Amino acid sequence: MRKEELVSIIDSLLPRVYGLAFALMGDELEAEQVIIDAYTVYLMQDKDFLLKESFDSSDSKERSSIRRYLLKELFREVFELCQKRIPQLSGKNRKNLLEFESFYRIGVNKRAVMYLKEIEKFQIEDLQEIFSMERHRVLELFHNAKHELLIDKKINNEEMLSWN
Amino acid sequence: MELEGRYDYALIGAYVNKTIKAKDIKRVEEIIGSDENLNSYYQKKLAEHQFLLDLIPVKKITPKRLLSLRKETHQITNEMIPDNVFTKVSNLKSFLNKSLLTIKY
Repeated sequence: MRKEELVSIIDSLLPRVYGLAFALMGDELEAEQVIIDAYTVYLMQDKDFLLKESFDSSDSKERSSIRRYLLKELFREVFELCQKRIPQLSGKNRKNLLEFESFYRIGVNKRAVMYLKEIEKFQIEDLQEIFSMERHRVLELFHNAKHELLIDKKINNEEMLSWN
Repeated sequence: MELEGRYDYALIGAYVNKTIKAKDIKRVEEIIGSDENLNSYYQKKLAEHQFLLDLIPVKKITPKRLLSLRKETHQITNEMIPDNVFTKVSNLKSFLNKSLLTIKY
């Protein structure tokens, strides 16, 4: 792949990668920083492979599959970095995200599974690749995340009702 | 019988979550259409699913931030991947392949 082709594909993927980074971090600046770091790490690891691979950019099928491959790789890097960084954050930056409090109370891996499954509409098989997990483990995370969100919301609603 | 009933409920859950196997889709659509109880369970599951979707933050990047993020990633690409010498060679090759003069008879 030529450098210009890589730049053009990455440019087109950035809004989607930002969506995941924001959903995990809950802060615009943190999300941007995670993307920059994730992209740097990814290039360090895979640049030789990317440049070596011959790639026909005029073939729409090939272009679409390389886009999808790069998207998954970036999602994986963003997820791994967020996993390391989130425990270090105090969560102060999320003051303006009160309506998503329940979402930020579940673990980062559950957030990632929920976002990629429900918003990005990824299949379980794609999630297996991104998280390097077996199918049953991804399904377990997905169902636990849903359950925790519903329970959390239910408890919050009951608390609010008891205050009134 | 009871087990089969439970299985139908589980299938509906998988259908709403889109974790269902392709071979089971037809069966679920049939039972939702024919059984009143299962249909109401399906509607309940759909509402629950929508409720969950509303709990997930979906943030679109602003054009200004996207521009600055693109600049940053371009810079990283340029630092990590120096300009390829082959680009110059291929540019020269494509230039030489074009005819400079065309003589019309």
